[in-house]
Amino acid sequence: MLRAESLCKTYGRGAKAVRALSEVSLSVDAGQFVLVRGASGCGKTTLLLTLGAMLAPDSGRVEVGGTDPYTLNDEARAGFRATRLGFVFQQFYLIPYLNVRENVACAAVKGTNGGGDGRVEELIARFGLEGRLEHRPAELSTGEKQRVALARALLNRPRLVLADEPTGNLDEANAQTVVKALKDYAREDGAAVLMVTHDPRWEAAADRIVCMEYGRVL
Amino acid sequence: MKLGTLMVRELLHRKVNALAGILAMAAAAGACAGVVLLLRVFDAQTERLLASRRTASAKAWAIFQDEMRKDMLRLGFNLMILNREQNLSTPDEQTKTMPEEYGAKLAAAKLAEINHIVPFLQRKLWWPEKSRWITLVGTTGDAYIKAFGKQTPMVQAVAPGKAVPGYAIHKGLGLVPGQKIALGGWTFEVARGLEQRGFEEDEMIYIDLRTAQDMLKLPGKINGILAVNCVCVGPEALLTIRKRVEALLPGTRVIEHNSKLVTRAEVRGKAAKEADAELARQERLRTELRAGRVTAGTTLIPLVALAAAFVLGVLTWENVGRRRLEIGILRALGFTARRIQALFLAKAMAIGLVGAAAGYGAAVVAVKLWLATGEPWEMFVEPLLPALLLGGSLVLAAAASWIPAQLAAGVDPAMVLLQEGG
Repeated sequence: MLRAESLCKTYGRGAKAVRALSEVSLSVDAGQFVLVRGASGCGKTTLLLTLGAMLAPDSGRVEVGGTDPYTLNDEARAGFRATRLGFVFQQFYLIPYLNVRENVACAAVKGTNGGGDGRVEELIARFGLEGRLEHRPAELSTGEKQRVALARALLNRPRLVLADEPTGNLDEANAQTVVKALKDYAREDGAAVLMVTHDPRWEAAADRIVCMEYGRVL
Repeated sequence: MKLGTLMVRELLHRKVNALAGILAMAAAAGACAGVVLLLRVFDAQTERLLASRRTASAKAWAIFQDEMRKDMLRLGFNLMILNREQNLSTPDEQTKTMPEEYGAKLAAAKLAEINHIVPFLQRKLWWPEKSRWITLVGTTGDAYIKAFGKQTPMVQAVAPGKAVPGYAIHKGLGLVPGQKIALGGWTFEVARGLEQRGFEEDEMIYIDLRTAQDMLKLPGKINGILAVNCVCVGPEALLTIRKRVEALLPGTRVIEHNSKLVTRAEVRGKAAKEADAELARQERLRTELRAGRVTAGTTLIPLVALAAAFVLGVLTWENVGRRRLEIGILRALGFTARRIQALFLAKAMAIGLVGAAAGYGAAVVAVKLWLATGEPWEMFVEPLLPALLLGGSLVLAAAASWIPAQLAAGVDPAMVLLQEGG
């Protein structure tokens, strides 16, 4: 499902240049739940954004479901993100003026099943948010916020889910819920899930663990 | 999710930003509408004022014409047709002549206003036999009477060899009908004496025209023609008859002779012209005032539009900056740059529309209730102005927010998420 070959990414130039990714190669098959571990600043987020069709690598190649998103123009790449990818962030990144239902539905894309076949309600029920439909993010707990973010990420049935420290701000119970949900999605829906974390608690749940250090995969 | 829903939610979420934009656009639209509506009120009010003055002037002119017509029918007036070279400062001392047939020519023209035509040859001369100045007048009497048989001649013809002295002469010299008098070597018999007239005719002696031409050695010549007891059907005819006679008899000019009516007509005509001139002056003043208002309006409208566009542009800019993370999230979720641009343009245009509608409504209510309570609502409520304002506000809002919207579309989601993720 996901193939990355020899990805390199450097920020800045000259003496101030920071090499965030250095010859990173990895692959995640459909149905796999893979953890990317590493200390802060090791390039995990850069890797996630590069794999997520948002940050073009300086060199190397990314393929999601056989398509290299960086060969697409900006508009097609946006469509690619909407239909093939799902994102979960540590800070949730919900839209503050939309309620729970709208935050989940805002990712819906025409021509997909997202939001059009009761998918929104299904996900809301799956994540136990039925009683919070009209609430805005400011009125939710952190766990609820992350569940809304998860529901939004899974709305369009993406083939690849990229989660950046999704449990970083959560208590144990909510963290367990999120990790379980991601793992279940990989298993049940046959998607590839890549979760970046520095928390060793989730290693047992992973099918595979990728360790990173100074921009390299060890 | 539909852009409209997203836009409305955000508008309601950041009310102050939206309200500031709406107020700016409302001020611009209100100013534009106010300028146009005030101009309409000005046009309507001044037009009514001028129309009432035009009506009053027309009424006064009609009364004047009617009075003149009555006066003319009652009084009549006299014209004297002279050689153009004749010195008018001494019209009684006739020295210039014209062909005698001018009398017949004028008679043949049968001008409606002229009742009697009297050609004459006149000369002020010294009467050596009586040692005094007299005015000798040779005449054929009336050469033309319009209603012959119904009107009596104004000047009686004098038979050859006869003389008709004026009152001062026959009274002063004690002349009686039948008495022979010698005049410059010619002998005449006094036919009758004239009644006292109280003006220069009292110093005249009328004789036959041919005899006068022989005496003065001016055969076939006359000094002028009296058109006596003329009647005009209106003051315009009185004031234009001069030109018509002068065109008919080349080399002549026409003066009014002992006519109070002419003076009255001229005074009244002048007054009427002055009234017309005053009306024209007020119309010019109105045009100038209107032009001033149009100039002020055409200066004000672009200024307020620019100011509103500036405010809306700054507000959109600020909104883009504030929503940078949100733009990054939406881009990460698959929103295209074009949708992001459309989102900001649509918001600015919605603010423009609401602002324009509010500004137009406020301008209508303010102008109607404050300055034009007497004007009908139809003057203010019509489709063209609001349509122009709404259309203009859409264009203005789109133009003002174009650059900020482009900036929003250009936001790199990866950079935003990297920075925010810190």
